[in-house]
Amino acid sequence: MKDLIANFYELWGGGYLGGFSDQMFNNDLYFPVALYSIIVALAITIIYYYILDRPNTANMKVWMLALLIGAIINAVVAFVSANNDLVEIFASIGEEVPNSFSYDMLMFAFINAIWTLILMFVLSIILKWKSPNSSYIPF
Amino acid sequence: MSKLYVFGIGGTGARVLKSLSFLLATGVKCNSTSVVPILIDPDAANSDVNQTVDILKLYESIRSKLTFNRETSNQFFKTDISPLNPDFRINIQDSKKKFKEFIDYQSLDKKNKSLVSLLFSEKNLNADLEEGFKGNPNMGSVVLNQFTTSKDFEVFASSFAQGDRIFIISSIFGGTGAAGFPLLLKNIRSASPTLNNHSHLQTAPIGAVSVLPYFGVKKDDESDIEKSTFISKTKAALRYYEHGVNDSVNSMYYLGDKLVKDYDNHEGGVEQKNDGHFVELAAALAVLDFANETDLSTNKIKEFGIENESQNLTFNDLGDKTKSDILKPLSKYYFFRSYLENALVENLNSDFAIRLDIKEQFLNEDFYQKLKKLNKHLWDWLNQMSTNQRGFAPFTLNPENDLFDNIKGLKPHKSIFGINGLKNYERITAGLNKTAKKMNTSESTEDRFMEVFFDTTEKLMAAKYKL
Amino acid sequence: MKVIFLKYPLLIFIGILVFSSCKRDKENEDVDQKILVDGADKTDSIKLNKGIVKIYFENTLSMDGYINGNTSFKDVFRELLVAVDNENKIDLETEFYLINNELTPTNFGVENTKISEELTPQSTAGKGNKNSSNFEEILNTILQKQDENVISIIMADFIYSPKGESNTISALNKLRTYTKDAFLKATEQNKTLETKIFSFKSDFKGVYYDINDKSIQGINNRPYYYFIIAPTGLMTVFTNEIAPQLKKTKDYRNEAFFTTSDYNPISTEILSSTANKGRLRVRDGNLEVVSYPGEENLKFIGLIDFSEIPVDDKYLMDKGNYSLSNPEFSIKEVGSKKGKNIHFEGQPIKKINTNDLVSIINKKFTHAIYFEAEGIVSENLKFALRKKMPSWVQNSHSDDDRQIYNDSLEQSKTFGLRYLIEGVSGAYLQIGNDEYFNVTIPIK
Repeated sequence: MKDLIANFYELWGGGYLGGFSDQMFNNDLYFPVALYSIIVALAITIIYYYILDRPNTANMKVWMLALLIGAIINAVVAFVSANNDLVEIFASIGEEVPNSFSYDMLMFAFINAIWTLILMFVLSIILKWKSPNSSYIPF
Repeated sequence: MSKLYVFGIGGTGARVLKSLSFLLATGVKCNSTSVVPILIDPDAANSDVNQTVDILKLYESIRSKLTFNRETSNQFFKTDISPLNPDFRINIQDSKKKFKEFIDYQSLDKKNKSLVSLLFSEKNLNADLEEGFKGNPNMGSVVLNQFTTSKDFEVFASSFAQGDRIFIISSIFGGTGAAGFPLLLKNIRSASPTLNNHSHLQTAPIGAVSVLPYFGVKKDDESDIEKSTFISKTKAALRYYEHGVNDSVNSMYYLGDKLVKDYDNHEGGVEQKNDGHFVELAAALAVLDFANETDLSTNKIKEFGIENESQNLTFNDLGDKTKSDILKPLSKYYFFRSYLENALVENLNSDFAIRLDIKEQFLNEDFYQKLKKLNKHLWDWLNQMSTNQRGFAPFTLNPENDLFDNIKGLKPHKSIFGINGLKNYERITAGLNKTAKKMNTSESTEDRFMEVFFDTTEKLMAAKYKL
Repeated sequence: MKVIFLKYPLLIFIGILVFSSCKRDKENEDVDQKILVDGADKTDSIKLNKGIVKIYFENTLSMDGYINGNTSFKDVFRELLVAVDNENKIDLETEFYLINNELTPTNFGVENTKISEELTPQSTAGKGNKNSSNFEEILNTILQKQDENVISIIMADFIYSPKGESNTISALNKLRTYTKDAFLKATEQNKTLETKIFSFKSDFKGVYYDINDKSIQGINNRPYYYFIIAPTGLMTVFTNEIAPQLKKTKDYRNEAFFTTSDYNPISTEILSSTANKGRLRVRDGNLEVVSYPGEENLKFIGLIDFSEIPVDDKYLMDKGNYSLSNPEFSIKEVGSKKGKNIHFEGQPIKKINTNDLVSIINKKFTHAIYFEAEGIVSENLKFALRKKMPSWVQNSHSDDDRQIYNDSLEQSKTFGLRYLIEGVSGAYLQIGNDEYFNVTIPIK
């Protein structure tokens, strides 16, 4: 399970970011991000299709906006979570987080955002059927 | 299987039949299996008559694409309107002649010529029959009498079955109507034994509405028609009816109004085109009252009343029965028409449209185009009634605010959350989406289309107004 | 209206998510403790609570020079006695013996710590035959008195005297064989018996007898040895509580250690970011080479915990003592880890990369091995620390001591030493395995 989540974030080796990835993996920092991100994606999708659902939001523009919002939230979640956890871990040995990690955290946030978009797309397909007004969004 | 033959005589008959077809389009209840409108007017170019014929044809064409059975819930256009004649009207023979040619004046002997001159003015005699009788019932009675020997009457008699009913619409103060009604009545009750079903005709349930003066015409020296004569003619006709008509009619309906608006004075033809008036709608209600009447054992005479004497009637000014008959159907159709006019095109990507396969292509087809045309006529009719005197303006017809605030006297229920928090057309779209989900999609597109709107507007009335 | 009301809970919900990911309940531990765990205190795990330290002094004429006056030998001896006396982890008694052809227990009538003062050529005269030095017998006697609660310490110069043997080489071989047999027998009875050999030098005021028994004077400095024989537990006590005092003395030189045990498993960790050439990924103990360096060989450091291995640093840090089963790999250097730093000889101190520091939080390591690989690695990395005779033995060994007076280098050697220690080593290798540990690091 830990490996599976790591593979998603490291793109099966293609997105391996050296020390940063090792720290994330070894300290189990991927899991909370993945969990929160899945919850956020699920929540926003459900909100779009069932709570905020109305004829005026039942179009591609609003749907894409919802995905974008989810992606942005999850990018922030990824960045903040990774940053805070790493700062704490490094501080516990009296060291600072390496400067190169800033870029890595941005990449991580970006990758989380992309996965969010994909996940929300899949969730949309699964969840849209009973939506009162948006059951044909995105198609 | 009982048909209702509705004879609409003259301009009034045409306008009442127009109102009737609109009411039937909105789904007002009629127990007859089908309504057979027959327009009688020698004035071939009468705009009112021609417009009514257009509308009846549109109605027929629209309805032909719809299915009504146990499984369908749509009641717009539920009642069948079928023609006796291709054009819904009876031909008056020899209408191109002048009156004196019609009565074969030239061949009369001197004594008869003198009698005729007593009865008819020179103007009368030289009148061109194409233009109707211009308020001269004396002429009308002569000309219309030949109706009984016409082919059309034979056709009518042949199609008449036991249980069918007949209704005659006429105005009492005008020209064609005033003459034609008693004549028609007499010809039906005393149908010649050589006609098919003559015994059925003799005993057929007949209802009639005589519309008393409710409008005037502006003074015009060039015109033969003058409003000051309306009242005196009414009195004369009523006197005659008392003896000659009331006994033959099972249900007699009288209608009229105090206020009088002056129309432009046109003697006939294309220009005779009066604005729709509430009285015509009330007369259409008389037709329906007769169609739905279950007890015809005794002859009845009925008058029409409203609850509040207002210059501009709204639903709340009407009597309870009237209100319960027309409020919901008219309101529902109002929403229906408004949505089609203002929102349908933008919402072709809505959930309900995709689900029911209502595409732009559908909007270009014959059914929808005809529906739009009929709706335009209906809208004009509502507009005319609202500006007429006395006006009937139950709806705010040019709304800038929420559609649901536009039924005067009815306050819509609103909420913050949920579907009733939506406004205007969006609320309707949401209702359509909801209705479409439960619909059986195996019917034709036309049926689905009408059904989703009927069901949705029905639910809207309940949700918004608790009706 | 509706949308706004729902936005607030949504924001709050998201806010909670974001902030709770920041909050973590961790104890504030002392920073240094986490990474400065270099070794463990093992004495606490000893189950014995008492023992006897039997100290044997080879009472022969050649030894007189070490006890004539105030010598370094005596200083070291005193350190030993004091250390044993002060040792408080377990209850140790001291027994002192003079040994030649006879075994003479004595304390010269003084308390234990004063024995070294009393040890003189005079006080040892008349106790057995100081001429005879039958090493075989001495060893046998001592090993017979070895027990599971005994630490035996033999203090001697261990110069072999091949009396009467015409062929020196065959005599030396015999020395080796006898020694081996003696130790084989001893360890047969007690498999946990371990042997440590310390070498010292001392000022020497006496007579040196060479291979031909010719007496030579004027040698001022000579090596001598302690043979320490004890079962594992007591050997650990000795190593932790007593040996440090001896090694601190200025004349301590070297150590050799022999045991049947092995110390598997020992923990190792490859550092992915410290002084490496080539990109590495270390996951769950596996090493993955993400990319090889361009023109250089793959290099990386592995941290290793030697705290369990009672072998001295000189042996541990001699890369010749290691064997690698994978021919692609070689060990460049063995260094020590102190706190956050790694010390390789002749190189500036390397600070462990912060990423690696995080990976080794709460783990203890004592040393570091610098590995190098040629080309692409195709097998796992397997390496072991061999049990060998340390290299100093060869350097302290003499084949011929007749020129000792003129040869100052010869003066620091002991005739026959190698054969003696080879005998010990041979016994241990025969009984136990030949590796202190071996480690396999899977490589992907």
